Amino acid sequence: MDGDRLDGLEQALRGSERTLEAVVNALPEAVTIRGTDDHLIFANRAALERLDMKTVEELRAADPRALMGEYVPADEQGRELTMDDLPSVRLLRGEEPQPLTLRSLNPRTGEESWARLNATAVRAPDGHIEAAVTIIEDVTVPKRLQLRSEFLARVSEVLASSLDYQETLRNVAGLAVPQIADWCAVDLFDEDGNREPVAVAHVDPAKLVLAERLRVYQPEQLDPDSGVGLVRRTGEPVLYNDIADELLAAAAVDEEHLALLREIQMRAALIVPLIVRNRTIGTLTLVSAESGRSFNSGDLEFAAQIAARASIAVENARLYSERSEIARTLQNSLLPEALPQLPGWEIAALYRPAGITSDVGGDFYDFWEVGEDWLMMIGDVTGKGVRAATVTSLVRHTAQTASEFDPRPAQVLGRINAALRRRPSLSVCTALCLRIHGNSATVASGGHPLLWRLDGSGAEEIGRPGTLLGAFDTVNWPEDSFAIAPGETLLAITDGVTDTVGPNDRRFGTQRLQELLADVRKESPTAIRERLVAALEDFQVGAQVDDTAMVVMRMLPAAAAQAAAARVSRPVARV
Amino acid sequence: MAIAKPLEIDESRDGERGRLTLTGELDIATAPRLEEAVTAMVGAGVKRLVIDLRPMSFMDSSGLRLFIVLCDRARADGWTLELIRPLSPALTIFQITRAEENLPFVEDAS
Repeated sequence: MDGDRLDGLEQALRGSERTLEAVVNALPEAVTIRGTDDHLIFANRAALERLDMKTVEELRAADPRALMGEYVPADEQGRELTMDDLPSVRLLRGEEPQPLTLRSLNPRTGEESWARLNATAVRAPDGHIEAAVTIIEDVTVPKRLQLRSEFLARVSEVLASSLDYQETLRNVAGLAVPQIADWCAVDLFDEDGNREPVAVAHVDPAKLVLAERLRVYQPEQLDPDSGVGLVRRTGEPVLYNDIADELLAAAAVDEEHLALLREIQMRAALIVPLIVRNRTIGTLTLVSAESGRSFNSGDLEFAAQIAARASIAVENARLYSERSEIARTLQNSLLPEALPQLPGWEIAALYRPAGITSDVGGDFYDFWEVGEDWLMMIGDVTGKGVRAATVTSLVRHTAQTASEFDPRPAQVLGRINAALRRRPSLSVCTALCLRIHGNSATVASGGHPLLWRLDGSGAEEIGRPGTLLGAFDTVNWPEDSFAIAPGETLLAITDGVTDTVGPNDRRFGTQRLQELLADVRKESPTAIRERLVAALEDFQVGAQVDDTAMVVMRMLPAAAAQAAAARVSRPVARV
Repeated sequence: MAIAKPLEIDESRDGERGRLTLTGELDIATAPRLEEAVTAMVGAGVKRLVIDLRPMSFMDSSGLRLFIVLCDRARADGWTLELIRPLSPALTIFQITRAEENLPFVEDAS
């Protein structure tokens, strides 16, 4: 240690080189000089301000380790730093340190700041290091901007990841700790203005128990003049810094409550509203506790940005569930309320809309009675959503009305085609129409997968292709009539069955379907449906991409048919 | 059995004659790309467009609908659309809907 040289250096700065000192003092960057004994021997005005000291003498007298500890410094990863991590100290130890970006808290105000420390050695003529000059650049503003944009990017990711808004809000709260605050809570309000706690996050799970216990003390009816209640009433954020013990004592309802509040060590709190269409639907609360930091207007603005994104998540979830509700209602209106009792027949049906989307699918099926005949129709309207639902509705009603005049399947398809062709925009639909009269049936297809017949020997397609409905000027719907024997089964599907995507991007296809149907041909309609669904689910890779519908109908053996007919409580015989 | 592949559209043009060759699957996800490619061809002055479906492995109802739309559009806007049948089971959907006899299929015109 070279005391003389150090004194000399000090002299150079403090005495003879007044000009230099004036220059250094005028710098906006804080500049410190650390001696080989690790004590700070000089600080310019900006540095003294940072350290909350009045004179260099005061600084020199302070224990450097204790001084630093008060500022709870941490690096960018949140790791706590000690004096040994500082570039100046490492330089004095003979290392070659990189500049260090550190976060610190002003012990008096709790204000958080970021600084970039860059140390340079002051060397004696013989080359040995006798002091380290540190230039401390305040990077609070750019660092916060960086952290915030990173955080908001993560928030946006989280918001896009789920339509379950409660889960989304919990994830957002989880992201906020500990970078933004020690605690983060989200509350939503119900119709009566009562708070519904949705999320509470703290980096230490043990601390969450405190929140649970504290919740007991939260009155259901909010106080409109403070905290969450105030934010709900005004729609404006509130910020509480320097929460003193007296405030806690005043807020506490009893000793245990006060003890809890003290245990949380709440130092500052920030409450921002979640606003959807000018209505405050909830709040986002950030609490600073053991970290000791305070919140400023920048934090408030940031919290408001998070809240705005969270509000969108809630609104989207609400719109989505509303849309799903509309879709469900429409879908229900497109399928028969219950499968009809077809005398002498046993029926099973399935409608499986494609996953993911909540849009109404374009598949439908229907049964209705015309005189002594029964008509069955299954179809697939190209497209999805409300427009497809409108077309589906048109097709069903046209079919029923048309069949009153002429129940022949080709005639029914012709009327549907004409109705679709009259629409201003291209409306395309496939449909299969089956007419059952006693022991015989007639089928016609309008561009729809053909009907399957399952009998004692196997499974075969029945009928011939007919023109897609609503698409072309040249049309042809060949009708095919056939006899049905008791015990035989008819099966109609939509293309969602054969188009199901399986391993190696293969399609389920017609051949696989035929083999399966031959296998299950003697089983009941319900059993056949379940076997087919199981086979599709087994085959399917990834999400179901298309709607799937099927109708399975089996003519009961004569004895069973008579018993079934006896159960039907309406006149069967006609004169 | 068809093997699914994302749709590849091979484009070639010679003055007013254009050709699009489709390989892979034409479905709800890929149909918009074909529509764009056709629009670009017609926009660039193609008057006679051949869409070669021979290498296409699969097509769903969205694909079929697109061909119906393109066919109407060609008629309305005064250009000629010609289609070459797929070699794979993708032909089935044209047959089952009788679109085969309504859409402008040609034998290979190249």
